[in-house]
Amino acid sequence: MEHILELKEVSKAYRKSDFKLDKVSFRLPYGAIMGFVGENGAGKTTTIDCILNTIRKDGGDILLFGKEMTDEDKAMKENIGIVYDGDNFPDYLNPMRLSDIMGGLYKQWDNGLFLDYLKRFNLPGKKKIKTFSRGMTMKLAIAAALAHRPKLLILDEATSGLDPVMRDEILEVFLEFVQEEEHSILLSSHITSDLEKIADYITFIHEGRIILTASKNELAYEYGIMRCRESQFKEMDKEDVVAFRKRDFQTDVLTADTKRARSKYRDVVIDRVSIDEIMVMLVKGERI
Amino acid sequence: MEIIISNNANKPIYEQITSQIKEMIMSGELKEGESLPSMRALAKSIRVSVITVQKAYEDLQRDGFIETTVGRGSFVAAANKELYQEEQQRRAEEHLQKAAEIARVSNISLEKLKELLTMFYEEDE
Amino acid sequence: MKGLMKNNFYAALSSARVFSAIMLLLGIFVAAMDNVIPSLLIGYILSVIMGFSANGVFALDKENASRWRKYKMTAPVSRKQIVGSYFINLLLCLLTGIIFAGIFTYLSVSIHGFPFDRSTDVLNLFSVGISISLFMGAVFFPLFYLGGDEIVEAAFLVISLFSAIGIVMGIISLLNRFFGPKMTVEEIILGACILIVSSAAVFAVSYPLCVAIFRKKEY
Repeated sequence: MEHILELKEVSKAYRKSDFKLDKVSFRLPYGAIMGFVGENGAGKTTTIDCILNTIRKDGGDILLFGKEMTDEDKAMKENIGIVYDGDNFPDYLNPMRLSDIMGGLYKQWDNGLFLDYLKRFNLPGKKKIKTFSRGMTMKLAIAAALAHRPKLLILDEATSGLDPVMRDEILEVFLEFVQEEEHSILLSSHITSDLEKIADYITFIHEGRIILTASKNELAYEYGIMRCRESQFKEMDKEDVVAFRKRDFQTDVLTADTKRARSKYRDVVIDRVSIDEIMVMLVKGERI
Repeated sequence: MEIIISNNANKPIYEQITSQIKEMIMSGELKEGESLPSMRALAKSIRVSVITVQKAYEDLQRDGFIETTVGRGSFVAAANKELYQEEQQRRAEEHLQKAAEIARVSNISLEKLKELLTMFYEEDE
Repeated sequence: MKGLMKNNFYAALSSARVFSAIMLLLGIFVAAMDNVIPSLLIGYILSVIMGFSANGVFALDKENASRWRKYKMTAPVSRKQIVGSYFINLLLCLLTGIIFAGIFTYLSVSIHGFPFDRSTDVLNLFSVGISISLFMGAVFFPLFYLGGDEIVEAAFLVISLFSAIGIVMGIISLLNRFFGPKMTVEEIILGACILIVSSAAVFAVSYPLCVAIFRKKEY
């Protein structure tokens, strides 16, 4: 079964710094929303830049719609919508002029759809982008990305800086977008509460490496945190411990199979675990 | 079809969906052959990820409450008294299990528990 | 490509508007003034041609403040087309400058008569203005793509402008050396052609050079 996006052992090293992407692999199926989580500098933007070909990878494969992207492949780019963090467009433009430009760039540009989004997001058509608030520029970028009817939507930290009301609106837009089974979204973010709600898959990246990629159901319902005493921890099987952290009075243990853990370790408290906690455990925890 | 989701409940969201739909089917609110909303449409209305609804529908199918065919969607399966009975039994088991756990931890004897159960059962008679 | 051109147009528009208005008024002023001493007209022709061209180049700078450059690369256009749109944009701006210069020279001459010693002087002025503009573009764009984000583009613009002027003056002095101090009409026309053709050639070569540089660039 084809995935809309596949990364296989993608690596990229920067000459000037130590940072590199190290064998990054994950797959995004059609019809799904994937949250791409990592702290600042973890490599989210670099990965997305590799996917979009604005930087060149050193090794590995990236397949979009089953094919590699080339600079000349315009048909593929028609089907990819992108929203970057911050100012996507020059501020001397206004939405109407932007639409004019976009219409010349994308064959699939639908001005009517763009206007619908403008109305829905309450964005003035003829005011310069310079006068827009941060939330408005974000919404404009999302409107522009959707108005050329892409199949894959990639957002790089596009919801940070939005107030909760706006984020709610946007999440609704995203869920609408994946009503089509061929549509998928890759959403890099460190606002994990948004992802807890709507993501189908989560991929964690840290220091250029993928530390976990799984379906949200697994993470929410099969992963858990055992909170136990030192003595109990010592008795645990290696296979039940994904990562652990010794605190002052307890040891937190991340496990990937709470059902099994519950039956094995009957007197240990096992909590459901949030994406944030998983991230912290994977990054700061120790492995056996 | 109204589904209420609680974010704070201990029960996983897909289980909340599953049990509410089962309830509606068993009570007759959802009739045999009636179509359920598509997974994606439901996901959008209750604001959860598609994969959550997918799991709920899979469980409903596994437990025999609905039938899903590719291309046509999901429908309420034929009313099956046995099935409903099984489901109710499963629920009772859940509660009993909880009671047993509490009893074990707080040193309430099995005899006492049986006594209580008999008392509650015969209350309405 | 259309989208790219529209983009460049809107980018140039805001600064071009003011500049065009000024040049329009200036042109009217120059045409109205007596041109016995043609220095006003000379100055006008040169500055309007080079000014519009410089405007065309400066439009690039404004895109830096946002991720627009990166965004464009994700759109269904090739890097080659992006570079091409800048080159074409410069040519169009240059053309605008030539038209302005042409119109007001014509007006001045019709109203006040021909002010120059020789009929070919006008040709010289135009060819100097055009070739400086083309050399400027030919030098600026590769610099821009090589250095781009780290160094202020105004500096590149100044460097390109002065190198262009230098190159053109160099060619002119070579021509004078070759043809002698008094040149015939044919020789002057030949000289003007050499200027324009060489600058156009360098401009044309600059394009694939920039495409090659841009292809390697990462954002």
